[in-house]
Amino acid sequence: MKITIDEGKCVGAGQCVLVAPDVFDQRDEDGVAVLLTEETPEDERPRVQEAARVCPAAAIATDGR
Amino acid sequence: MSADPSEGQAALAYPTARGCPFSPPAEFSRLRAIPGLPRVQALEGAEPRLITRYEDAKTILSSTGLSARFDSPGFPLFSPSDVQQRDDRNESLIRTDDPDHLTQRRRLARHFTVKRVHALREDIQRTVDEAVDELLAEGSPADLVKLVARPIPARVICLLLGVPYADHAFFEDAASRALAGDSDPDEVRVALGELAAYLDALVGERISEADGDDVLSQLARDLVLPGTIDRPELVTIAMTLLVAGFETTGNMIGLGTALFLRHPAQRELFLAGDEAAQAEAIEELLRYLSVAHHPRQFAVREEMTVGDCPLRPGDGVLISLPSANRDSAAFEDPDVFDVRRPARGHLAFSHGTHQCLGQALARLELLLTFRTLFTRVPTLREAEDSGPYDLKQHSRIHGLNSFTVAW
Repeated sequence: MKITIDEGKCVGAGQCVLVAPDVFDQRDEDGVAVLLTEETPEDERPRVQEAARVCPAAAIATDGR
Repeated sequence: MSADPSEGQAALAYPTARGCPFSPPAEFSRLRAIPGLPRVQALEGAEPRLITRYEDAKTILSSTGLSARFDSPGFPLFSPSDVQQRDDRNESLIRTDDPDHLTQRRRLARHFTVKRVHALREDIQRTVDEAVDELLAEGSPADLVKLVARPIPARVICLLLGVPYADHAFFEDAASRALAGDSDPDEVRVALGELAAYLDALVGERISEADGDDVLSQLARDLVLPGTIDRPELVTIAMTLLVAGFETTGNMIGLGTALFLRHPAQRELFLAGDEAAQAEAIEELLRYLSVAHHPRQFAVREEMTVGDCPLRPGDGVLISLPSANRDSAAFEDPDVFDVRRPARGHLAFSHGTHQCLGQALARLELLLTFRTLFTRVPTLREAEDSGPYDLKQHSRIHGLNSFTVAW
């Protein structure tokens, strides 16, 4: 599945890492969210959508479906 | 622009009277059902709008059209300490707007990432174990707030920041006077001055040594020495992190223990869960108790519509996080404490760019504390003669002054 992180908006709260630890990580230097892998398997979709829902900065977008 | 559904209504007193010590004032559930955004009475004759519903709170907290600065036109002053902070030009992170706020926040965020917090896990567990040892050594009955709820987060934030825990009585007292919602502005000024003087001396040492691996030493090395920030700015950061680090989590531990003891079946469900289920239970505890009950305060700086109500630049808004977290439109049977419900997405840490920086640390401290406490002291209960809960009065953070437990 396709995931986009808006790095300019991310506030480094880390909720995405708690919800989907196999998908998201935080940069060491400023806590901004990054994707762990280029390709995210489809079975992560519910967790990624949950991460997008709780993201305080609305910085995570997924392809529709 | 649509009509204002609250047009012509008199400003209300901000609801503060709690029936149940674990729940926000019942008045909020009445207000959530009324269309529009009521006006409430604030200081200096201001009548800001009150936001009580979950969707409205989430929408407005996500907006870029708000200002958290005390000097923004229309910023609603709510407690005497706000007057002091406005007059003394409080420049802390929570009273700064983007883009400056985000730049400053990111300099600190590296020290509070999920990865960094989880690297502290053994230290936190040891701190929790030692606190429970001290509770057991004191013997039944004992004050859980004094022996467990206050020391755990204070020791953890001291360890993280490199502040000597031996000084905890001093800074806990000063912070409590600074956070009291009913203090005279001069008393708040004195308390903050004492804290600032203490931290200035400490920060001075960290700047001259600059070789420690604690957060203040790292910030001194990374930001003060290259001239990115100056010493007073690091003192302000230290003050924010120290006070935020122990006050909220400590109140969650005290009040959370009391809540679990009133709901033994929920305590059993929590203990029976795996780590993921326990983490979800902590989310429900955060939602249900929402200890940050002092309203979030902002000035509107861009036109927007929230709750069908038009807001204009110069309007003030107050947002009740506890009320939003008890909104039946967002949480089924919101007044039921149920550790199995999906509570994530609650607003206990607020929302938007100012959402709590230390939330991963708070979550881990709470999880390890409740798991360890209830596992090691399975017969823990409220002491027979403990009487009504010893609730903090007029504090910006809801909690217990003391809580006598037995086992």
